[in-house]
Amino acid sequence: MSDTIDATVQPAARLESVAASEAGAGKRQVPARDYVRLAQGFYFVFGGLLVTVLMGAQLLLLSESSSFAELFLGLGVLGTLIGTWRLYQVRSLGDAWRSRTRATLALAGLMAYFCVFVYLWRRAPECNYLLGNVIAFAATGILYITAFNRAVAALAAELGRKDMALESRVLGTGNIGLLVLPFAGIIGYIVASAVWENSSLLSELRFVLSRANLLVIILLLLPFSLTLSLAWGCKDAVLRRLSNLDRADGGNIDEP
Amino acid sequence: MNGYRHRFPRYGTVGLIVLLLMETAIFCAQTGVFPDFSWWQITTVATPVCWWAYILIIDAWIYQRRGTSLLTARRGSLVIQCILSIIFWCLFEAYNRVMPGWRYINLPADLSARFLGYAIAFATIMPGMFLTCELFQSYDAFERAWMPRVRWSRGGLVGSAVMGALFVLVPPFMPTPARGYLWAFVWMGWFFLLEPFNYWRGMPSIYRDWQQGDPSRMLQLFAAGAVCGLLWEFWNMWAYTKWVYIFPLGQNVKYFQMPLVGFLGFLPFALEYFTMFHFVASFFTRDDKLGL
Repeated sequence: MSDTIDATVQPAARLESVAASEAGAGKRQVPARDYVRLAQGFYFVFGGLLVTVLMGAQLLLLSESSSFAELFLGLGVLGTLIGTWRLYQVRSLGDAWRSRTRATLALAGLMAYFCVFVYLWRRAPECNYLLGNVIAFAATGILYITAFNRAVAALAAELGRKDMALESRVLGTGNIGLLVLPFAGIIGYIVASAVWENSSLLSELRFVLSRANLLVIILLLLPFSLTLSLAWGCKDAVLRRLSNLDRADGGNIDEP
Repeated sequence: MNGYRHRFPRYGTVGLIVLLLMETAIFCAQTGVFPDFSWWQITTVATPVCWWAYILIIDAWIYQRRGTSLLTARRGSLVIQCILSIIFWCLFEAYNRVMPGWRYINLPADLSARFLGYAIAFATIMPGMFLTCELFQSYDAFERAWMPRVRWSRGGLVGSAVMGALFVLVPPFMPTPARGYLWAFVWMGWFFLLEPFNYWRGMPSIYRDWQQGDPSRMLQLFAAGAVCGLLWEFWNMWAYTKWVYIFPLGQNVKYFQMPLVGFLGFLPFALEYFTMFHFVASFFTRDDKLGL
């Protein structure tokens, strides 16, 4: 019968057709070494960003000092910086990728810079100058998320992955509504309250944090988790490409 | 020096005139000439004005000797230096909030004027030091200096980075009374932390100079740090808006308003800024944007 399906043949045939369509859609010749850099970069960004968000949230909410959280925040930011730097090293994906990863790298560098202020702020929490820089650290993290999504959109376009390109564009735009605007509003409220009521930034920040409910926190963390899943998805897509390349080259993944 | 003596650029003359005018204002403020005039309104901006004038003069001097300079041929680098200078100094200001080092007095009440003043003053640190270093280089100062070659092993470089990380992270963790004694570690820590990365990544590096047995660039930077340190304290002494030192070490032996022991900090500080600049630059380019 012609309408029967051969279950043993279909997965392999489908994999090949997907690989063929992806290979056809990507117009550039991307060396295997760049795929390796991409995979490493996405691994590091995923791990680094996850640890940074968790430890950053913990440090913001805890009033007592936590050396554990401070150490891991530093490691998380370092991981994000290394991952972003690996992504920036990929030169074969065109100008859009290069310029967007440059912006992402600059923001990762700024995060690493402001991370030192977080350490110092934990030693002197009442200092407005240090707290201001901690807020700048959070703002840089949010901008990093947006820039990272834009870079992924450029990568997805180069790889011919329309679904991923759409996802990253939606996330990048959604971040403005879900993260950038609420963050700007909250910070504006904190600063205005501190000025009008002649109180410290820290007390206003603690007041706002004490009133935050679970739904708001989940909504604020949503863009981070979606971006993390996107980073993981990118890593998978890149590894699949690398695997196809490996098969095509007969196992040789050195620089062509 | 290429044998041909170039003209002294006009902006250098402008810098000289501005510096002389500011020095006159400072002299009048100190000696009470025209007591009805509020000299403090002028001397409140003495530090940034003197330093920008100094930058113009030194750059013009370098142009006269070399036929090229930061302001005539590398303005992009000047802008980057100014931005990084502010960013790096803000980091040390953060340490200063946790470890007693210095505090500013007679600051403008208006916050926007204060922040603008901070930015204009902090922007001069890096170009001021590096131009001074370049001037020493134009005279081939320390070019014949030598030192035993240092062979860098991977362990040595990793050890340097770990030691640097400890230097920059541990002082703020120490008990509050002890922190003020630990500034030396902060002034050296960023150099030890970041220099191995510059070495590994092929950027201009003091460690590579040591490997080649050539300490000339390090000595030129030391000299630039010392000259700028003297000038910082000299101009700060007479300014209305200024800083005073509150760290607990050596407060009874001072030059101008700084404890003498603090002067030693200017030497590694120059190296530290050199290393920090190249570390940041290494992420974006492999070119030597400083040209030192």
